[in-house]
Amino acid sequence: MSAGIFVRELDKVKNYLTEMGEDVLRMLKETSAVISKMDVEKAKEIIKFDKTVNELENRVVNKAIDLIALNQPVAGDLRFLASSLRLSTELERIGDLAGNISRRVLDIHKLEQEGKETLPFPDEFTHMIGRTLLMLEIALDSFKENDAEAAHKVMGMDDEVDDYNRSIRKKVLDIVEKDGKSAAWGFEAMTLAGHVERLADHTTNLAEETIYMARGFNIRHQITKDREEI
Amino acid sequence: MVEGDQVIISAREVDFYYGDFQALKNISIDILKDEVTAMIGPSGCGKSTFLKLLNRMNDFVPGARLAGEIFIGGESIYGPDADPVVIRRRVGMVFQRPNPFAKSIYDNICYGPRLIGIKKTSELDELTEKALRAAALWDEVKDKLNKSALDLSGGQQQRVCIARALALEPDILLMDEPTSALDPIATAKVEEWIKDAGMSIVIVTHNMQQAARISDKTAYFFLGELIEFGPTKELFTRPKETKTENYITGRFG
Repeated sequence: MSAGIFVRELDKVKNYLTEMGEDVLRMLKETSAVISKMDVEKAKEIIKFDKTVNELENRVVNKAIDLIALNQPVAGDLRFLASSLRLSTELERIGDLAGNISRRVLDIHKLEQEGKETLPFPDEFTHMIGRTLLMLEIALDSFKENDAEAAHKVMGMDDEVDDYNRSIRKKVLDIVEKDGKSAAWGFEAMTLAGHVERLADHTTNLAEETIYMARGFNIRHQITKDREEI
Repeated sequence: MVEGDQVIISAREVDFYYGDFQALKNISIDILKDEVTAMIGPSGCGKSTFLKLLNRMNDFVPGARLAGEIFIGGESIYGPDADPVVIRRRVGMVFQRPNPFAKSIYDNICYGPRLIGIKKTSELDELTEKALRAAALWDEVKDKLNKSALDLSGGQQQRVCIARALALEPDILLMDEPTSALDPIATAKVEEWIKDAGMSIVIVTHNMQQAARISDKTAYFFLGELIEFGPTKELFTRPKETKTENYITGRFG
């Protein structure tokens, strides 16, 4: 394959990934609205849409494997294709988690219908999702621009999301301890917060992958101090 | 930092000219003992010229001129006391096309040793076996040592040439595109030999995947300059120079 054709094929992979990124970002934005408004119909749409993201993942993986097998890429091209395999998995997981968050909203709605006690979400939920959304936006932009420096910003933000998660769990637990009738709601609320926390973890992985793609250094599973030096 | 005794070839600020044409510009490089070093770059980049300087194969090129110094095992090979014949014994060479002599396999291997005065049959037998074993060819030819080397397959002929070079027990083996005239199976045999040889080998290749497969270090030449030199794994995953990246990813030109 000539270099020109190969570059066009690489662009296709990048376009699929960008499309996946835009899809999961939209899913998460809509999920945020679903939670604040308890919008059941929208939640169902999000769950349905997850299939589209799964299909895009297959496209990325198939194309990347073909290009690796047929072109023996090296350097930046190899790093991009190796990263695309992992990025597509992370994006697909983010789509799954957006779907799972919507499922928890449906479960809470069901509790309401059954006449069980449900409560408003603590304020931290809005902050936590807002922070995660911002992380995802930065991670996706840094991927598009191949910008390791921007990707680094995402790392520190994950700790804030973890803090929100701990705070939510504590608040919900306090509520449930005082009022046992809200136990089912409490369980769903904590699970939902856990989904957002995992979503932020996968977003961090996106950023780590972008750093590898841009600079050629794998920073996964390294302590924070070493990561900052890369 | 490279330890002095690990360096087997050291070039210092080497300029080389064919008449008015400057083929190499200010090349400084340290090549380590027992490593495979690959030289890559587009046609005319100077990689073969540099290889030939390492055993003074350019000496007879009219108008050729060298500035700077090249040391092998710490000794200057272009110094006043340097003897090209001795240097070529220490630095063997294998060429692009297999070029066995129109003689038996045995006589091909013994050609060099006989020239330096080894006559005893038992000694010649011994060194023939040793060289053919080292070139991973012994098992295939041990029963037909008196057959013409020209009757062998391309891959076997090239390994006869390797064995012929090894019979003089050189410190370094230079290989100038040694598999470009071979089919994939023969190429694999020669590559396997290079990887397992455990000796100092400098190889020029047009095949980047081959450089990536078999070498410890890779040097990228462009327009007579050494653009980048480093561990092959790093050069092929995260090259430091944009020029290198453009060449190895095919964006060049």
